[in-house]
Amino acid sequence: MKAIFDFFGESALGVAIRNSRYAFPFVEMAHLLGLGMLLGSILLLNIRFFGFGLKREKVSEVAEDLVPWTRLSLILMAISGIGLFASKAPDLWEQDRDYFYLKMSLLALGTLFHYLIQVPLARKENMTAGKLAAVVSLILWFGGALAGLSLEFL
Amino acid sequence: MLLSLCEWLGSTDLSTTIRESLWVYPMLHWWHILSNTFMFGTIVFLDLRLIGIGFAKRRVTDIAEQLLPWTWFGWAMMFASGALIFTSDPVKYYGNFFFRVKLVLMLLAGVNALLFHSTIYRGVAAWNEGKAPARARIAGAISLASWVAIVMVGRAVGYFQ
Repeated sequence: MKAIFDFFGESALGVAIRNSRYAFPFVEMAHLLGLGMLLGSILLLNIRFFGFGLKREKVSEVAEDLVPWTRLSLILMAISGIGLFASKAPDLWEQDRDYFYLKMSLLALGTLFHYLIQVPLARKENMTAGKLAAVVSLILWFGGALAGLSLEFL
Repeated sequence: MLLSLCEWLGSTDLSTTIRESLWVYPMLHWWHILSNTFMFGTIVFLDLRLIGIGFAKRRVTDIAEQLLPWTWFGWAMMFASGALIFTSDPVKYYGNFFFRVKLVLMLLAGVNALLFHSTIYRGVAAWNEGKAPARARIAGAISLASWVAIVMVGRAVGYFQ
């Protein structure tokens, strides 16, 4: 694992971001914009599963509408996330490894859960299992976001 | 006048408590950023529909009416957490260039939304199911651009004077 941190930390990208006064904030802005849209799309699908809103559309329609935006924001977060990771890898390894692992685990679980469980449930209009899945989804995504934020704001 | 108000606010117990707490200050930022999910994460989708990217099958009113309560909920949480963050060090934020830009941009976004809802949106029935007219597309683009800028400038407040 140390080898991965070293590889990214010593990469030209990581060095360039660390050496620039402006690069890190801008990469972080992209990451936060991605977060807003990502969690927004996830939240709205879950709101529909719970029946708290968007009731004029079926849950399969809400999923169909939002899936492309979930994907786009995940891509934006992944690209900007690589930049953030590369620039911070040395510090992360020394200080915040555990939070980082927690964050990445929740993020991986959230993504898998979204594509393998939640979207199929939405397509099948399965509202009973869907509500349970919505609780799991919110815990995974917002937990992952909180773990990620704790890396930056603590 | 404004500055002395900020000085007074900064001298209150609430301000000192937030500023000196190890946990409250970061938690306010988490709260602020996660609340943006409700606000930015809903505004974006109405704007995209207006501009004509995505959601083509949905009526504009269905998107607007169903998202708006969540947008307002997000706005209220953004305001509450933002006001508390401001309270932690009012004089610093008062003097911060990017904080001022952020306020101006929020005013712009607010005026844009108000104009949209009080003019072109009143005739939404005519374009509810199809492509929005130019004025509505422009309003959507201004809204999207200003909220993206607000998020970016908001982050800049924490990094630069």
